[in-house]
Amino acid sequence: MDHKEYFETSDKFEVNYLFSYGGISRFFREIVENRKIFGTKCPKCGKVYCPPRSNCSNCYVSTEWVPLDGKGTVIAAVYCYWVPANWIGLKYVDLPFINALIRLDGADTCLGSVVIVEDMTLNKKVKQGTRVKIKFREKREGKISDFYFVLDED
Amino acid sequence: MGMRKVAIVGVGQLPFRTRYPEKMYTELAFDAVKAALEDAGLTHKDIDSAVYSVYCDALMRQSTSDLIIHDYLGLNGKPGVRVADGAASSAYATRVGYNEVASGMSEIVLVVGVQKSQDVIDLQTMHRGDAIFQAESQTADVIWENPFTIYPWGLVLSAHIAKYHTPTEEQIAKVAIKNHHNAMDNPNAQLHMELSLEGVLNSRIIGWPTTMYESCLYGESAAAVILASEERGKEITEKPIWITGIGSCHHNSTTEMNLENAGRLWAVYGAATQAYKMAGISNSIHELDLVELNDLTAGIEIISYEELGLCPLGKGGRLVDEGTVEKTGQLPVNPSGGRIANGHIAGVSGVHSVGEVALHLREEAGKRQVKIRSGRGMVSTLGGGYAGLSAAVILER
Repeated sequence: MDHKEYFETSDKFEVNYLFSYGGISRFFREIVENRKIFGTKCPKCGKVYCPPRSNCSNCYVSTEWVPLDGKGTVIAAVYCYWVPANWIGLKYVDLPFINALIRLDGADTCLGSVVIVEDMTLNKKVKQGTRVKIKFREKREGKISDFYFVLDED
Repeated sequence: MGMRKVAIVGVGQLPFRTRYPEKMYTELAFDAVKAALEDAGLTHKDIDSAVYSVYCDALMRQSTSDLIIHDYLGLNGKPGVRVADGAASSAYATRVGYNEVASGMSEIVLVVGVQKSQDVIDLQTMHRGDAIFQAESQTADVIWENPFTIYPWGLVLSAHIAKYHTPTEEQIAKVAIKNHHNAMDNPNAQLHMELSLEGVLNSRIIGWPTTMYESCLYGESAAAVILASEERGKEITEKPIWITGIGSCHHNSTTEMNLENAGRLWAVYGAATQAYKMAGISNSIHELDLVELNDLTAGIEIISYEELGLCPLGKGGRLVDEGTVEKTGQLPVNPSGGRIANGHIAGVSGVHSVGEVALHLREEAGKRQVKIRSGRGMVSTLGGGYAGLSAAVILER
């Protein structure tokens, strides 16, 4: 079929959510109301999850909330230069931005976030091993975009 | 294991194209299935059961599309099931189909993957590519990866480079050049374009170190294979290709990453290990004639060499420098051009690759044919948020 022969028409699919965080609701409540970051700890094996889980995936028991101090270590960092035109992250970061996997002190898992630094020279200020600390945005709505990280130069 | 042998008796591949506006997904699936049936000398009435690989409903503008395809293929009344596992979907589907035959539940099983991706559009830019990202955005973990972890495999690659100091930018570029060069001989490839080292390194950077020409394509296609029991397989064809190993592994690659074991594609490792064990392979680089894997980016291909045990961890770059993985080398990887030059679409790439390796083992791969020595080939797939989905298939003649 010649490309002029096919017939196209339009449609739209739009869904709004007002969703619940269920058993990890406290994580986002503490961020929004108290500017605090928490993990969850298994009382049996001691593993600390951040991002939090209300159940330990190893022991199959309920976890307990533990406060974290918001400092951590970069395990991996990607300097991102291209995003699609309508990417929602552009509300929070400019290009290029640094996406980092961060292991918070006291936690045994990694949290994905952004690290914001002045000097964006590739792999200079932010790379594997860099120490960072959490910062909370002024406007918080209960999402991972409510916080970001900066260099911990203390 | 007490399971029956399973043969691939029919292969149907459509070219990867940016868009097939003249075909709906039912029509693409039909074309691939018809080709596979003709290859096998069968009709749709011979099919006992079908496994559908269709990935993203938002792209397809249809949920439960497998029922609609099943009806369109004239298979009403027969069992059907759908598998959706990111970019690895159709290799997972192959595993499901394999089990139906191996267990004795079915004699002849159709595995078909189909995906439209270009029916979406971003009304601000009038670009379809921008809308594809959005439609697929729920592939990643919507709470913990979205929006910032836009390249989960980029995190794995970056961590790998930090730990092992390879692959280098040049080695990654060489993989892109290799795959684009291989695709020149592949009539199914979406892109026929030779590249230079400079051209690759200077193309637009996506997420360091990956540049545009080192990233996979995305488009539309369909592919199908027909699986049969040993008895039926030998009746149907003189060249049955046996599935002797199959593995699948869900493994979140990023959440548990630590400095000691950073930069691993655990899912790829897990699926390959299972497949090797089943096939009795202990030294893959000497026991395989070709590998078709998911080079979602050229750098990921190099890490995959390590996860597939073709070389020790951290030594993947060397295979590139020494030409081992070139089409003329000891173990060609992605002689089709791979995801970055042959084409890629979640839902289809896996079963396309299974058919591709089968064609090579039959020595029916035309200009892109590799030398067959051991009579074994491998498919490795990777996909999903957390770079966490993989299925692998080992084929033998």
